[in-house]
Amino acid sequence: MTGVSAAIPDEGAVDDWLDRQREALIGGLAERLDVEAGLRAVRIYARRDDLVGDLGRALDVESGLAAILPPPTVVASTSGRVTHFRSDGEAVALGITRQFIENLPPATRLGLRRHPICMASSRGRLVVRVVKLAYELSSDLAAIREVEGSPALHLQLAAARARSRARALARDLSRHPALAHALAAVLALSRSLAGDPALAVARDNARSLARELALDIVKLLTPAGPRTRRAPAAPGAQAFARRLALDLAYTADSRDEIELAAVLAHALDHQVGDLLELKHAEGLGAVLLAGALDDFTDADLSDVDLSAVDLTGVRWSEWGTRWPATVDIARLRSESQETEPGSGVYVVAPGTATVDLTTLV
Amino acid sequence: MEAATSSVDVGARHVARSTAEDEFASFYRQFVPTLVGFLIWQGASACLAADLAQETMIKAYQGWSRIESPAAWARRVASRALVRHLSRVEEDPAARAPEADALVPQPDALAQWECGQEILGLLAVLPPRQRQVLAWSVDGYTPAEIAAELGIDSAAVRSNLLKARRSVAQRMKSSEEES
Repeated sequence: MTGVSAAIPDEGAVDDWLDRQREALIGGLAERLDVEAGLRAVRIYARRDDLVGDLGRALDVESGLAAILPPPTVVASTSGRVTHFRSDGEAVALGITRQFIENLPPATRLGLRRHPICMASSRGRLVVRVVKLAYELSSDLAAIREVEGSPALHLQLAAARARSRARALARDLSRHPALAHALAAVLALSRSLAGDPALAVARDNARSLARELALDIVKLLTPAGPRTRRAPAAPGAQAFARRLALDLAYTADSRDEIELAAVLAHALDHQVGDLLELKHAEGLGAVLLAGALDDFTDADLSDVDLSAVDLTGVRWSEWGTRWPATVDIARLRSESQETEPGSGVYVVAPGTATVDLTTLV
Repeated sequence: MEAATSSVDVGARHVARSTAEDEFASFYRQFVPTLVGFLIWQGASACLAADLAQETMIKAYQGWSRIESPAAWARRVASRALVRHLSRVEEDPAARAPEADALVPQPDALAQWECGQEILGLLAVLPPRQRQVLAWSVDGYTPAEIAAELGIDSAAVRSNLLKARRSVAQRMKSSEEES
């Protein structure tokens, strides 16, 4: 045995060394954790009980949305622009948000239309509505089965309620050509609503559609990159929403679906809020679903380079929209569908797969 | 008069809620890296530790008004969650790998950094109980307090701490000889 062997450190030296290691570990973590994103995620997730405890309140945004879209009072100006008048407080708040978005420069709105966060957010709000439809169908079915005697009247009422919701959904979906498959599913669901077995099938189909939309959101929130065993990392808050969407896609519990859909839509609202630097993000997904980014009926696009822009779903008007000189208006008209005969307001359709909007009213 | 009182109550509630929000935010910002480190020290991977810390913080946020010592409470809840998780993983080795969460924007980078931490290599060779008591000890808890938290007697805590420190000392000595 030769050489100098180091002495075993005493207890104090060990404790000092451990303290330094601990400090270094925590310091390194502090640099690598996104504490602000984590804090925001905690607040959003912890609020889920508030959000879904009173489901009606949580989904009032949907009422606000309905209040904005199928207007009870519609005034069409000579420019073809449609103005809706509402007195409901929530609708007014959503209306202000919508106005903010509509006032963004047209080129910005064209870019945002295909932004993954915006697309995910409108789908998020859609998922809430589809899940709610499925849940209410379940509740109706359970209630009908408890009715003594003839449940025919209850069945008819439940079917009528569900049809009404399905049509409202279809109206929104018709503004989003990328969701044509979902629209077809909802229309089929609406047509099938008659009788007990059909209601049950409709409920299952609605849940399938919700899962499909949730997976669509997962795809939108997965950053592009080479396919590896693990997907590339998404920014923190985006990863949080992605995980919620994944959980929603694979949950088997209908109560969980409602919770997850509400929290997901809320989280995505905030993502859009961050993107647009808006302090009040609540209901943004609903506003996007309502087509706030798509309305170019009074926009000046004459200086916008449209060469690489997908115009599918853009709402434009014969009298109000100003196009670059290179746009062939006659051709654009032939590729669009007029929202109401003679209105002069069109929606650029996806190929030939058009939908007769008048059947949805 | 009633309306005025009610308005004052609503205002007071609003102020109280706002204060609680600020307190929680301050606690979260200051404590979450410590809590993640505390769990890593006990054997969690960095991503799992961040997951469990987030779960704990959600519970803390929901019950904030009822928690007297948030740091001790969070350590206790997170430790139990880790034990539950580890026992589940042992039963189900195919449990899914943790994904990126809001707190961990780049899980791969975090995992890579984790691999370079000398202390974790040392802790990995310690038995779970020694790691556990050492984690509490380096966070400033006395053997009596650790015993109360873990539901074991103080002598067992002291014995495990002694063995853990000896292992660390031996490792430090070996490192010095190697260098």
